[in-house]
Amino acid sequence: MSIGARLSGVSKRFGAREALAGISCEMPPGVFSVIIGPNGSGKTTLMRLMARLDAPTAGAVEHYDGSGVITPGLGLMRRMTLIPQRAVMFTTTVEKNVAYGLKARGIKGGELEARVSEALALTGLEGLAHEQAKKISGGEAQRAAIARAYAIRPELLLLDEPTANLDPEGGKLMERVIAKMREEFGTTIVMVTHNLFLARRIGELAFVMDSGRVVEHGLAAEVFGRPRQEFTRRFVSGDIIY
Amino acid sequence: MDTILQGVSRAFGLLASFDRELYSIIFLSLKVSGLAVIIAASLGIPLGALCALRRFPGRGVAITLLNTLMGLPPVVAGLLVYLFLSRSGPLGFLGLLFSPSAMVIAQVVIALPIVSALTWSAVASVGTEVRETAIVLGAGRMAVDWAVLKEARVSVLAAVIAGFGRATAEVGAVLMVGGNIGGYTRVMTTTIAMETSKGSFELAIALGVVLLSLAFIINFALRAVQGRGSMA
Repeated sequence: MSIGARLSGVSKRFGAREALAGISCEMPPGVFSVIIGPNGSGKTTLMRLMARLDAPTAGAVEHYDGSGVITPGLGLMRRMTLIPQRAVMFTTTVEKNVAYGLKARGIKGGELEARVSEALALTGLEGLAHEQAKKISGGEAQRAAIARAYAIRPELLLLDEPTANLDPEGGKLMERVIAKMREEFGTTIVMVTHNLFLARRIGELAFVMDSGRVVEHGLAAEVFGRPRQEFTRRFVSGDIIY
Repeated sequence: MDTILQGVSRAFGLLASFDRELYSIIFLSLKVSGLAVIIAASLGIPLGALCALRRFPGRGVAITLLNTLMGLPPVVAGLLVYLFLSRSGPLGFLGLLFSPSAMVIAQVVIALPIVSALTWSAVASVGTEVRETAIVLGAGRMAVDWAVLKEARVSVLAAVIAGFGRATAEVGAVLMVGGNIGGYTRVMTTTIAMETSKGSFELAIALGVVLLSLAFIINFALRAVQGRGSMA
């Protein structure tokens, strides 16, 4: 099953600064949504709210599936995950890092080993399985984070600038893994990115953000091809440097 | 200078001959301090971790209190324990004054704030990103706490070792509540103080060498653990 996210009148303030200003939008289940916008437009704040790491100051963030709205709690948290801009590894081996989410879900024994091996193989990290995760490079850590997410088979995957630390080869690998997750598990993808080419190529829905607001959203092909807003037109054509 | 050299020479003689009195003092010191640090760690690690991981009323006061008590003068700790354990004190009925148990209690009072305050500092310094990583990977509340605590494990161990170092080096409090009774409550530090005041240096120097060696071993072990911890 896939999970969607719905935001209704969501605002988020950090002291005097308003990071999100009354956002209402929906990332439907099974769909690949991309969020683009300049720095400071509120993209990461939005992702953190969807990951339930922060609570909105006003409004509601809901997750739902085919059966309706999912009650927030550990059950929901175990059906989704977030890969942040800079992957954080625990002080242990790469293999144990990849196994962490599975152990948290009570998966052990042969199934755990099989899933970890598959995730490591998929991300080309078999050779680093027993290396200390703190010692590997930023790009390798990002791949390990992708492996960690793949292993838990999330129904909603939130990606915050996942290609920031990856070389072109790593970027392609990430795309392959995401495609496989969508195909095999029906995972809903919500990705924040500065990579407009990537967003245009693989996104189905696009959300353009500016100053804590979604200024335009719709099918990615239309948002990129025939933007309705002047801001979007300037942003996707590269006139606004982020 | 001759006195010092003679003292050192005799001290090593005592150590090499496995002098019974010397080794019984060393054994009692390690037993008292070891037990004290086990109790201090059992209470101090959860207390420090609780202050770092949870928000509760009085948390700020608790942290300030722990940091203040880190500098608790040993004689004040000794005085407090003495007052509690003396015949007229609230725990006088236990009859623990001038016993190794009283010395353990005094050392717990001294080591507990050190272990808990340093644990708090170690756990609090683990970045929120570790906690958030555990959360987004589906860990429950206890598992999230455990993940954070594990990241701080080397520093927490250093806190325990610091507590042990402080306990073994302590003289004032154990003298007040232990009484320095030969063969019963006499430990390394109190023996050194007593023998020095008598002008009998060989036993004092021998015990000083043991204490210094112990400090070296503790630091060596700590560095080894830190090295392994960063690789674990």
